Amino acid sequence: MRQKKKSDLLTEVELEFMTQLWALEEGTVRDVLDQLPEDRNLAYTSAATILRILEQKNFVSSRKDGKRHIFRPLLAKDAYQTRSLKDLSMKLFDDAPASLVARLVDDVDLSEEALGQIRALVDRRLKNDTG
Amino acid sequence: MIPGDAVLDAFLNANILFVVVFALWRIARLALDRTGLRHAYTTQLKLLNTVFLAIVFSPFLILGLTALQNSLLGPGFNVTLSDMVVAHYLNGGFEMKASEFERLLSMRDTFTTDVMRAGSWIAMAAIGAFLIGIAIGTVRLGFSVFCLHKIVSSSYAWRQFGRVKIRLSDRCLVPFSTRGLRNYYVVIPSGMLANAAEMQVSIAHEFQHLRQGDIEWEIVLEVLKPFFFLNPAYHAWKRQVEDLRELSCDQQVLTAGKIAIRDYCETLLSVCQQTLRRDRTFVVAVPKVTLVTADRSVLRDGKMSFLEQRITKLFDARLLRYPRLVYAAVVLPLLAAVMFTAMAIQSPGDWSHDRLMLSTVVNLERLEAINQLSTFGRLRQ
Repeated sequence: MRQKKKSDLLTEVELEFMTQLWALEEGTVRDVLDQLPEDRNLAYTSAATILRILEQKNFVSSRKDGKRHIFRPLLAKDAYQTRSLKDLSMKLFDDAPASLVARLVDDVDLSEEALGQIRALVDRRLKNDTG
Repeated sequence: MIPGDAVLDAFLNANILFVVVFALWRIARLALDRTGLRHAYTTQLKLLNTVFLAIVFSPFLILGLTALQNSLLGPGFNVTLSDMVVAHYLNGGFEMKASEFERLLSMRDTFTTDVMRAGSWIAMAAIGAFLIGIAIGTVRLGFSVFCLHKIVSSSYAWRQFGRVKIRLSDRCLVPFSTRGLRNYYVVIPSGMLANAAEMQVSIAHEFQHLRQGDIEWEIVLEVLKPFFFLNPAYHAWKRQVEDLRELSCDQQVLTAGKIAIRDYCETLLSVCQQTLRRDRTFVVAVPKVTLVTADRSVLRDGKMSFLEQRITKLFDARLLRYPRLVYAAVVLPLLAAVMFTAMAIQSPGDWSHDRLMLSTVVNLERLEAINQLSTFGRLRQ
């Protein structure tokens, strides 16, 4: 099939599938379906189609193992997190990551421990950039 | 080659026909409502489409009818509205100065000649506004087709039945169908894969649009829209077709009995809710036929939205027992009215006896005015 222009972000259902694949590291359609909640009621063919779309979007790759196709993520979870945050920052926070962080700090009940982790992260980043 | 004034004349006639026939259609619809045929949406849609074709092809039908009239009744017999009014005037039907009456009668001819020669600033302004309107409409249509093409080409092939291709898209939130030169495309939001009931409703609905030929009608209406952008009747006509198309589709899908009414309503509501989120790329995309459109203006005004009307009408969905009979009974008088109006608004082809008489009266009026003047151009005492 003709390769599509890469789509940067995942839809809700695709993200649900990718989350399962990131947890599994690799798996068949059946493996992914088994990971979904029981009340999800998703047909096997629909799940296969979603994985095929993910493959066309270059988010996963597949290899044949007998009659089964085994899918594996091509993009790491943290790489997608970065991409998703960049998109959010660009669309909603005028491409200013500082406003995004400010909003998080203002609105979310952050514990002392969580704030300490953020401080450590910033220190580490500053050290890496200057060092 | 067809002369420019004949094209302009045909265009003016088509505009007048749209206004008159749409008013007649409203009366016909009122009559259908009163006779218990309020829910005959498919028949109403067919009626409206047939009458639309009659308007578009009216110049050719008029040519045929005029030839027939000339061979059967002779060239002297006229049924144009202006000839009828002249006859009425000469019989003393109403009082008016003959020269004033003649000026009124020739207003359309004067305007046509003015526009063709670009003779006055009014004509120049009319030509300019019209050309700008057409250019904007055409560019908008081209851009919409381009957007639609982008959405379809970036979607993912899923199933194919003959010339009908079902595709999944992560760029649209509302299922829709459209067509290329050869193939039909039904595009479903990829997120719907996770909801079998919504998927079934969407596919059944879009397939019904294909069966009804709604895409072709939508293309015709959209292509002609830039030319009739100034005509409010044309816009009202298009809205009416869009409404009837959806109501007819809902009715046909539900009366087939394969889909539960609850699933159908829930899908409409769910998709509408999705549309109310931002989906700017999709808003401009025409010509397409969608499952549902969210009418934000109506929500703001607090009136009953079309979706609300649709869902209310779903519960009354029932098929007509003799749809062809009803269609024939209504279409014949409507077509006759279209033809009569089309003939009546034609410019008179030749000098009739009545027109010669009117011209004589006008000349006598002028002579009388001249006779009242002295040699030096003053009024005689």
